[in-house]
Amino acid sequence: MLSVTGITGGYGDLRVLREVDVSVRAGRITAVLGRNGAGKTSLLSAVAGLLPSVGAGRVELDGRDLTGLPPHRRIRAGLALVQENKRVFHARTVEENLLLGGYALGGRGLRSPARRAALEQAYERFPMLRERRRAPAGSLSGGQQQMLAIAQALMPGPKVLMLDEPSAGLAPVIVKEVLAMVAKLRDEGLSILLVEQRVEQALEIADDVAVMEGGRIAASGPKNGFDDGAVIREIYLGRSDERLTTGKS
Amino acid sequence: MTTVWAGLATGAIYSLVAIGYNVVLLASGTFNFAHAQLLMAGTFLAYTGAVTLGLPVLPTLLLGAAGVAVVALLEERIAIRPLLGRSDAHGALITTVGAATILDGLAAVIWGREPLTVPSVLPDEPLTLLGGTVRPVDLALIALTLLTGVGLHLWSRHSLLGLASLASAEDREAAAARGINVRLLGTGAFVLAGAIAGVFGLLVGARTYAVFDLGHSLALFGFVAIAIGGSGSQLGGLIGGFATGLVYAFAARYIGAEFPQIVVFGVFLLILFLRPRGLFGAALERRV
Repeated sequence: MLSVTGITGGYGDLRVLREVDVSVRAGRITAVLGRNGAGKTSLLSAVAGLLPSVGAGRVELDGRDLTGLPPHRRIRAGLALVQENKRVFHARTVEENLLLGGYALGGRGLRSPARRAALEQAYERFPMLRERRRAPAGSLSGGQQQMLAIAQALMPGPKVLMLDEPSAGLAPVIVKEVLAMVAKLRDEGLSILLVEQRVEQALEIADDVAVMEGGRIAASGPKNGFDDGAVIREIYLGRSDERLTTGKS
Repeated sequence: MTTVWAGLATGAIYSLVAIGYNVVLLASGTFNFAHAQLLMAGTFLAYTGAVTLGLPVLPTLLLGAAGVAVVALLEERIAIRPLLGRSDAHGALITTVGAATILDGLAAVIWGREPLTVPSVLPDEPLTLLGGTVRPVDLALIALTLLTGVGLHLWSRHSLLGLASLASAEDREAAAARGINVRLLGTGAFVLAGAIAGVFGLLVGARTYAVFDLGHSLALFGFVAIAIGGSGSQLGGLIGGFATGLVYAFAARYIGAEFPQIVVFGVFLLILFLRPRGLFGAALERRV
């Protein structure tokens, strides 16, 4: 479904990604784990076309080469990104945020039939958003903003959803709700690339795992290869390169 | 009441500058210091169309709109586009001032340094309205400026592109992540702002003359209008412009012809102290 190979890039002269390979199978969740500063957010930015400087590598979606395309064309091709820190448009209402999420959908006018249908679908999936549709997004709680951000990203009907730390800054009970929603989306057939700090919760819903360290993929493979937690513990608590290589599946 | 009409007519021009600043600021995050120069170019193209070429009103308006839109597009390509993606957020502040200086110089070279009279497209006979007198061309300027400002305000809230522009102003990267082509939006904003400045060249020129350094004073008062109304708010810019014009006219009438600028800048400082975001401004923060 989504295949990223040999991505190298960063910000100006600062290289934060080094030949990163990661893939997402159709209807599966790939969880990208790693310490702060490992390059996880930069990886999602690079896939979405938002990283300022990408030196090498290839991004393919369903066999279509997206490398070099600007962000808006990647969204039209079927990628969607929910950025870290619930990046909704705070000054705009919930409904305006959703309509903006459907920007890539066809049709003239703010409320084209395609956008209206997607809006209705979003309200069915997230009834709370219908209740708060006229409220400024900035007035929602953190959990509600995260749901809005996910609903916004789903508006164009993406093939692959990328989520950057969807649990960040949320109360534990809300984290459970958000990750349950992510698992539900996967069960409905969506392919998901999930970057997450909360390792245990991420592993609960993930099908595949990629562990990043210093801008590289240190280990990757199906989740059952990580079940004993040894490799991940090494990544978070200190490691030897040799141990990691053996952990690589 | 005549003072009110005079203030509103002058204020309409300041509002137009503020509207132009806001159109570009909202969509591209750039403060285009050269916008007043685009309005100046509009007055010269109006002169060229109406006097040099002897064109009727409609073709003159089209010449102004198309001509200034092209100038704005060139400005965006040369002074803004090369800076996109660079970490230095302040580059455009310098390059748009540079563009303003170049436009001043080009206007002086092409049309000379003497003020040129742009003919009024409406009868010169003043109208008596609400107890004051006003020239029809000034009344048209006031009405059309109001229409443009309110129209842009409504457009920005009820159209997909308008909302995209507001979203881009709030968070450019998040807007790009939603599939909005933020580069094209920015370019489009320059072209739109240029076209509006060009269309108004005929009405503005009839009040100010076409003169190469018109941009200097307009830029300053347009900036005051933005400070009063708040950056990023089309209605705020509109009201700020009219308020600046009224303060100017009343200060000239009741305090003395030498004082209006001092009074206007006094009000400007007061607003900055009491309400730095202006009366209607959203917080458009700049990362330093």
